[in-house]
Amino acid sequence: MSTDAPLRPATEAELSEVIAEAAGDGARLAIRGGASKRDVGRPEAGVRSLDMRAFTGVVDYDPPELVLTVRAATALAEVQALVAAKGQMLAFEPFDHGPIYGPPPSADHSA
Amino acid sequence: MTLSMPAPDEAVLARRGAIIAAMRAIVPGEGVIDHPDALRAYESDGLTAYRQPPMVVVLPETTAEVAAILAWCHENRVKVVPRGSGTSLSGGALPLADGVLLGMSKFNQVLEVDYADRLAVVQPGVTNLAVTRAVEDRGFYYAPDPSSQIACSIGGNVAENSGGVHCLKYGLTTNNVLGAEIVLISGEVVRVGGRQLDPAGLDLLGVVVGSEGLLGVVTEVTVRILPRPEAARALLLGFPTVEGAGQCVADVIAAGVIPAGMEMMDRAAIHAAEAFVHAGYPLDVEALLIIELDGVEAECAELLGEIQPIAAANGAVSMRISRDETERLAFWAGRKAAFPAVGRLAPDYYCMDGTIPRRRLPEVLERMRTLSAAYGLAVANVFHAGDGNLHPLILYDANRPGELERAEAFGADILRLCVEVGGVLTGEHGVGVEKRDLMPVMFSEIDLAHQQRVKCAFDPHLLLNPGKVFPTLHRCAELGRMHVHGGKTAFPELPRF
Repeated sequence: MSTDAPLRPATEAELSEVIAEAAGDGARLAIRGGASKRDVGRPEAGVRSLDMRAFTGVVDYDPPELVLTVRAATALAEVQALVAAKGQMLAFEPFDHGPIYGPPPSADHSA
Repeated sequence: MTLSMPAPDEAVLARRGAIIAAMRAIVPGEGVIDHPDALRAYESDGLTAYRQPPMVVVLPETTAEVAAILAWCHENRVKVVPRGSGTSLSGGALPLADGVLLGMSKFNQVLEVDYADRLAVVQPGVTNLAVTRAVEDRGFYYAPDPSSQIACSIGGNVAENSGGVHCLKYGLTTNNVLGAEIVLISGEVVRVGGRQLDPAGLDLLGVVVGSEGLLGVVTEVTVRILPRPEAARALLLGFPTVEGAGQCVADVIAAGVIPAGMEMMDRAAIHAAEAFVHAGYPLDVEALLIIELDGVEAECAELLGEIQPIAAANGAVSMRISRDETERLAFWAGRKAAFPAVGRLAPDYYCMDGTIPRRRLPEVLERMRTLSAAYGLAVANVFHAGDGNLHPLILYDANRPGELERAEAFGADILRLCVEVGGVLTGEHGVGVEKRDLMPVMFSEIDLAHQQRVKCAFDPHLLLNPGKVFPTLHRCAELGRMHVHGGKTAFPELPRF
């Protein structure tokens, strides 16, 4: 449970400000992306919710380099579809709880 | 010499006798070296342009001795420079006039081999190749293979995160080390990592690997060992243009093939190597690629079949596949002898080490040619093309006044170029002294301050290997004030506590 309205910075500068402010107040931040695992584990109390969903999209992808740079809240399903189209894959396979506990990874649900 | 080291502390030099006596109390017999003639043997490492005999050399044999030495130096504020085999090409083991040189060469035992878990526990002074020698009768080997593997130590490999020809497929040192015992400057002995992948908690092993002797002294290393592939085949490809060879590298990777190694040589390096070892390289090409595939026989054959049309499409004018092991080793002989071969072209050469995105290769080589003309110094290129890790060899003559300085300036321009195209200052040789002053080209003041916070967490009095990696070491107590510019802090509207 968050104590305040969720913070949803749209730019790096805003994000930096939000974090500095929380640090200045001694407040704790719960960082969320798709929130597919939000209901797993102990509920958070007394934290500010930092919503990262404005930070999406591919920064750089050149298949021959075998390197992909994406912004933090890009949905995993999107990334997997992107690389699959080039005959590539992510070598790690994080368990996607979305279908069980939370919203589907590609849907933009509001918290 | 264009780089300067921290000025020796006169007060420490004045205490030299007492420091040597303290070291002798910890390490008996021949383990403490203080005669000026004997100290000369330690005055330099693989970056031979820089020399400085240490105040004293100490060669401990046990972790307890290392801990006692570091604790004493910490308490008495004496600087310590760790050294493995002294093969660093970035000056990582360059001694200090007012520092103890801590040589780890007596830690030369393989402690344990566990084939079921595919790991070996070794002391840091064991050479890279000796790890393979210890396990090869059972068909295993240690994958990272720096060119200096016959001499360089595992401890030094951990410090520098060393690579080699085969790290394209098998990773650098950091991907092949599972755990380490390290002694902190306080004398505390700690273990990071373990005997399996990804142990719980902070990745402190990741912090330690590649820390260039600035955070602690490695006294034991647990490495992964791998079964040697059943087969290895090499492909020798000649291209009329560097661009064609560069594009071939990119296309092979894009096709989903990760060769065990993919090495490129330019015209100057090909001619030097061929004259030196007669490897049978084509001399009428601008670039040569050696592509090695390993695995089971059928896999190698399949992948060779995939690569050949890619090479042809990129204009390869000569194509040879090794028919047997002898021929495969012959293909490599020229590449492996490339450095000494280039050494015959000029009295001295300066080996650079930078990494770029593969796609920028042709452009970077072109601009390097322009720089070469501008500086009036020839350059030969030998590099790990698959990784984008360049090793330009700048030819010069140290006996001509000013030529070393010109070679260094040329080298610095090459590294600036690497950063400019989206690459990094080093691939596998480390920053050391060599690239120290270029760190601000790559990292902002904020980045460097945060890197130094890590240093301060391990070594608050900055006694371990000072003068390396960081262009400026701020006193740890001052770090908290580093972001204050012109009396202004970031986010001045925020309350401060």
